[in-house]
Amino acid sequence: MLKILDLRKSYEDQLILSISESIIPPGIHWIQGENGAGKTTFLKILAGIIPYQGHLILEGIGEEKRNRSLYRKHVNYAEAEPQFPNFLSGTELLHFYEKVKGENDIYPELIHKFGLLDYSNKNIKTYSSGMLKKLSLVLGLVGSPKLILLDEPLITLDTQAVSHLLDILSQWMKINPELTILFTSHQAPHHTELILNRIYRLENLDLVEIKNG
Amino acid sequence: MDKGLNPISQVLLKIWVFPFFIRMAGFLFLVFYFLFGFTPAGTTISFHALLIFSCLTDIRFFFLIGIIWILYYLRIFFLVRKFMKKPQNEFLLSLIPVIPKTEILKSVRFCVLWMACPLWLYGFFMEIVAIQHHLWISGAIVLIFHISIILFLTRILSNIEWIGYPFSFQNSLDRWFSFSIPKYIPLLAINFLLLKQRNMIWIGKLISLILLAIGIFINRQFGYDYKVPYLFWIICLAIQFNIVYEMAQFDSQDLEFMRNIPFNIFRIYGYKILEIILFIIPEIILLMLYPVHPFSFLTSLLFILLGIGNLLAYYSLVYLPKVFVDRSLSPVFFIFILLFLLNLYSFWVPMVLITWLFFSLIFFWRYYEFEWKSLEDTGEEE
Repeated sequence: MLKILDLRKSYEDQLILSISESIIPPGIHWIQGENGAGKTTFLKILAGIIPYQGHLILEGIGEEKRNRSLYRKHVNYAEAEPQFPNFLSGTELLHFYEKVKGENDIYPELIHKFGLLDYSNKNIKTYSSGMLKKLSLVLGLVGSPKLILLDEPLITLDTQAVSHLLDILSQWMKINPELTILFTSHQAPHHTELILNRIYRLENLDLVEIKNG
Repeated sequence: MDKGLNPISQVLLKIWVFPFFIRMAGFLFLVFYFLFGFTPAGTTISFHALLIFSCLTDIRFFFLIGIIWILYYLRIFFLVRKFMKKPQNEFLLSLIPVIPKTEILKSVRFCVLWMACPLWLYGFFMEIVAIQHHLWISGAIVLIFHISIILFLTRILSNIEWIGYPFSFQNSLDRWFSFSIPKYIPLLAINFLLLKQRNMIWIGKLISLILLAIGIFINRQFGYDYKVPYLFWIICLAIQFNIVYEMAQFDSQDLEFMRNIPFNIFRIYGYKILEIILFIIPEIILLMLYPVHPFSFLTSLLFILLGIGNLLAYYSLVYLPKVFVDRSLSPVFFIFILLFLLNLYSFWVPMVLITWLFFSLIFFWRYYEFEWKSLEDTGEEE
């Protein structure tokens, strides 16, 4: 469960987000929002990548200085348009994530299904946008996360890859019902194979629940 | 890359250390030029032993060197901060805090040691001189200074609060310590000719002439040797370095475009070489009229051939599609070190012919390889 309290984020005096209180329970949730509504900013805040004002508490662990390491160990994030250093290979990056976050049984299956092994030893600068997206999603599943943040996870993927991803996530939810997975998209959910627990919408700087169950 | 390197060090090495040296290359060339360029061949080691001895025994000189070291360490800090702001390195912001403290300290220390290696290598020679002359206190100060700054920097760079987030005084400090002027200082007018950086042309030209005049003036005190041509060669090398670096920024599409513009490639190179030679004529004249022992015609010719050979060789590197800058830099680095070592034994003139021949062969090989592949791709070989 993720608890958000008095969250505020501004860019050069322009308020982007202002969420007074929100509790996100375990499950797979979809966050909608127009372009520029602050979806990516919201996920980056939850991932601890950008500074913010307010409090985030994940399973009783606050994202404040003394618990930062523990909080971030349990939060995984995959970007909408992933960028990684060009001169690293997929394998080097994966080993780095494994070393930092730990291993599990889920992501090797996704690596296999995505066919990442064929090009994992090549430098990232040779990757297409689809390959990069697949790599980023695999990295988003490494370790033992309690919160997985997937920013526009379904764009640039082919239909087969989308179905593999949704399949894996559904399986994981069954094994680990305490897991929280947040998808963001500017579109309404239309993937029937994905069982969503809640649908939220980012509007007027706030996170509003629009559908439950 | 070492296979035994742990994954954290491996990633940090590529994200911090490689870009650091690419960015600092021009500056380090310049420092190398000042430190090793003005001494007569064969006396470099004794000259530096004397320089270090003066530094260890004169408090003002010692203080000045200390300030330069601190500036270098500050540059490491601010450049790392700059690298961390790049979108492709953003993933590190959420991962660094998760890495166990001992692990991150170990990896960061490894990177800091690499980035600071020009300092501690020179510091190592300072220690040897200090021991030779029984300057125990000065030697200890140098040792403690470097160890404590490296440990301090390691601690700061492993803390995400220091390297990942903005702090209130950031703008002014970042601007001062992460500027990129040093890369251009030793590069004369070529920035103007090739890269259209017109504002640098006269400053570059002036600096070039001043450096050369200083080189000649100092060498007059020692009598003639091949040091001056060697200095000039370093400048040429720095130019090639910059060309490769800048050209590597383009992708293969740009190279395809360049190849297809309505001049053949030799004419383009011919023009560039002519432009460069015209522009460096003042330096060439200065060298040829070098008052103690003027250049002979043969030496001048060999010298120009060397420049042209280098130019062709490094241009040829851009024929590699998706050329990696580190791949281009390594031959430059090794040739540079080789020439430096040979220079210690005054072995310059035969090297001119060898390097010219070698570079020309590389050029033609690369050129035909590229052309042949292009023909194969389009099926035009028939």
